[in-house]
Amino acid sequence: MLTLKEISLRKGKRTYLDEVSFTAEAGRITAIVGTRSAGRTELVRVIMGLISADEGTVELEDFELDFGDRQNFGYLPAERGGYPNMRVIDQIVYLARLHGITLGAAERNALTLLSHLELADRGYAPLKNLSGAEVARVDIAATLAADPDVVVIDDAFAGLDAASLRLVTSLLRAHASSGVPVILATDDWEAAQTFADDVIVLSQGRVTASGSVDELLGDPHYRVEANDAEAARSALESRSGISAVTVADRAGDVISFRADDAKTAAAGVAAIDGLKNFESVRPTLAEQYKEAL
Amino acid sequence: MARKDKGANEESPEPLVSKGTAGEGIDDLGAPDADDLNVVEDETGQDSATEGGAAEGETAEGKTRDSAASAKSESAKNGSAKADATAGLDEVPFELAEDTPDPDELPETGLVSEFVDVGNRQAAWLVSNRESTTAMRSPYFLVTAAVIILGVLAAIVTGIVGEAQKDSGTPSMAMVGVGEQAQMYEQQLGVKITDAKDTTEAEKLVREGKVDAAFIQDPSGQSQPTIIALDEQPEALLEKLAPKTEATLLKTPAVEDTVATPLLWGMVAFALLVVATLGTSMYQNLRLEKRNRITEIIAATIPPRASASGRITGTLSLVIVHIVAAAVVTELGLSLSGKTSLAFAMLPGLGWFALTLLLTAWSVFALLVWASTVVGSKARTTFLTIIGIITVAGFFAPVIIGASGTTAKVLSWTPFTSPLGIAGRSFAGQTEWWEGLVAAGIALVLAVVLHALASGAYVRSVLSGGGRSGKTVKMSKRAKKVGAASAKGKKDDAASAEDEKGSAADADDAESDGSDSKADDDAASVAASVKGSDAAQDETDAKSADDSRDEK
Repeated sequence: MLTLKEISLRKGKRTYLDEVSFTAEAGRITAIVGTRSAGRTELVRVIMGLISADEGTVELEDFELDFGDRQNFGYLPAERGGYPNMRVIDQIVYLARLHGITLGAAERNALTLLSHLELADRGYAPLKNLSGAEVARVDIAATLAADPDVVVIDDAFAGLDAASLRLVTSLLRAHASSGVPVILATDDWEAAQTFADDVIVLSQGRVTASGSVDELLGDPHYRVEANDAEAARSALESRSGISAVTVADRAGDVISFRADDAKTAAAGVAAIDGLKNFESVRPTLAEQYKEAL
Repeated sequence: MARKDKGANEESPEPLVSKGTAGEGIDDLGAPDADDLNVVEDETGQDSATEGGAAEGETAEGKTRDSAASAKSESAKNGSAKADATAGLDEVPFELAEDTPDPDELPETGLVSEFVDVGNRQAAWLVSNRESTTAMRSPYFLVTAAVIILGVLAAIVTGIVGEAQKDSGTPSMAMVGVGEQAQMYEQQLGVKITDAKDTTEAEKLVREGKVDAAFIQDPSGQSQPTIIALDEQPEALLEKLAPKTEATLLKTPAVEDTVATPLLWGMVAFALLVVATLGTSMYQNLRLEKRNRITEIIAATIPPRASASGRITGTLSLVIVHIVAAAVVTELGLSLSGKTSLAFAMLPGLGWFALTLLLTAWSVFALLVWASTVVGSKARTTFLTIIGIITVAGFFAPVIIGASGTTAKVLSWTPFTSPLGIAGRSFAGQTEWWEGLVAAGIALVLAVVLHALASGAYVRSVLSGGGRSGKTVKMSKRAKKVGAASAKGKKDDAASAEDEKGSAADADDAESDGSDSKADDDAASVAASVKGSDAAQDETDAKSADDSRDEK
């Protein structure tokens, strides 16, 4: 469990991070989402100890981390690339060994990860011979090769095509399942919603929302279109368990409402005469927060 | 350090498996002592032997419990004695159990965690090893090594040929006042005789190299005549004289000028090749790491100071490889070609040259590490130019100025000029034994100071988070043009103008991050928001151009 407590970072008049607090639970994938200049990279660097925060602490299992305590954190910054002329496996092994893992274990892990990421046949090729998506996968392999205690990846989904995304996320999920907090910073709201367990919404250096994906998405609301919208509205308002009944369009044909559960919603809709259309609507994270940002 | 196997590491300094396939420690495979056997009474009142003790693994315990349960059911049917026998057959002795991990205990990732402590020295060694391996595989290194070895061999062969041509001629000797008897002596001795008016003229002929030696008779006739030569024994001539005698040398340089001068120029070329190629390789690696943010990965893992030291020592190790290769080829070549005396004469000069060159290379590499941390391509270029000038001038100056005089003496001590300065003066036989130590000492002090300064600059550049240095991003000319176009477009399209405002503010607020790419990215975003993909593509091109200029 990695906990950030009231992290603030300022430079001159500008505030990059303002009392940012959250906990990345072990075994869960936590996504830090925000637009450009939201402070994601600064926050990641503070987590990794590359920047000293003006205020606040970073704690792992309730122990405050000092400089040099992050040797077995797996970290991948936003920019990708590695050493172009170095063989893929050498690169992974080298970066893993900096964490203190033995040569044998590093080589074995490198082969295991390359196999997971469908790059087993590319292990002995120089990195420059690989495609962009393959390089991105190699970077992920290098991040995980030391079997890190905490995984922190900035711009997590950058450079990954659909196939690579599937492989990488399954690997990260497996790693999280081994009891490791996995933190992904990204501006890809859709990917965060799909692959993360918890989401921290960062805006202008402040946490504007946090929680599990389900919590942040909230309950769905429902939309009905009826021949007589006013009658439909009255019918819905009279039902228990249905709330927030409003007209959802200018023409006044579409009624929006919330219900305690899907069954109550269905029962309410069944009472409407002249029903033309009925749909369940659940705004995505991007729709819920991007506009606000 | 927080590790999943922290507890394990605390128990033993050896690498331990915290999770993975190995499962058990080697000590766990030993035969259990009698003391480790506990007798557990089960519910039926039967005794079954189990391997107990705190040291036992859960798996072993579980197996014992399973077999105990099995024994329990059997005893209900067949009696207690049979049940005991069955339990014994079912249970695989722990010593004979295969060392295969329980599939349930295997992590989904299939990764192994075997750790050793990585201190500063180990970290520096890892970085150093990568740096030297990378450089050794680069064509620069291989070409440099080939040029050095071939150059040395060519010089030796040229020297042998020159010497052979020289030896093939008739030896010449000056004699005082022989007059017409010269021809008689020539026939008798088989030596070309030059008549000299007096001793001074004979000596002059020797100094000018017109004759190999001069035969000087004592005017009083009381002592034996002497033979004088310039700076080496004229073996070919002396062999023709009977009885064979030794010549008195007028000059006693360790290495004669005809050899020392081209040798010194060769050493200048060698020093430049080694320092320039390896320094360039190291600098390019540093910039690459900075651009790809590998620097951050390394800094988050090992102390940045160790990382900076590692790359300097790694590159220095390759300098040693070059020096040793050149020295071995030179000395071996000279020995095999029968010039052992020259090889020995050159040794002190070459030794001081090698030591001071190594220390000078250390200073240059430290300066290059420092230069790589400088923010802004212009500042970096200026820094690199200064390093280049100091290095090149330092290597050339002592050879141009020569080995004699106060200036030469000073240059043989001062950093950057000392490798060639001390070597030149040593070949000329003008150095005291301690002067090499002084030169090496001064070079060492400078190298250590520069190393510390460069490491500090490297640490600062890495731990400032990639350069939130408070400076406003300087837009490239192209980006400025695009920005100007955006201002024009703003009047036409309100929505577009709104986008531009946001992006421009972003670009203004963004601060230089040490790698120019981020700054250029911001500029690219300005372009993209205003002029669409074409403008963005232009800006990307500008960025590539900037990057390539940086690299140059």
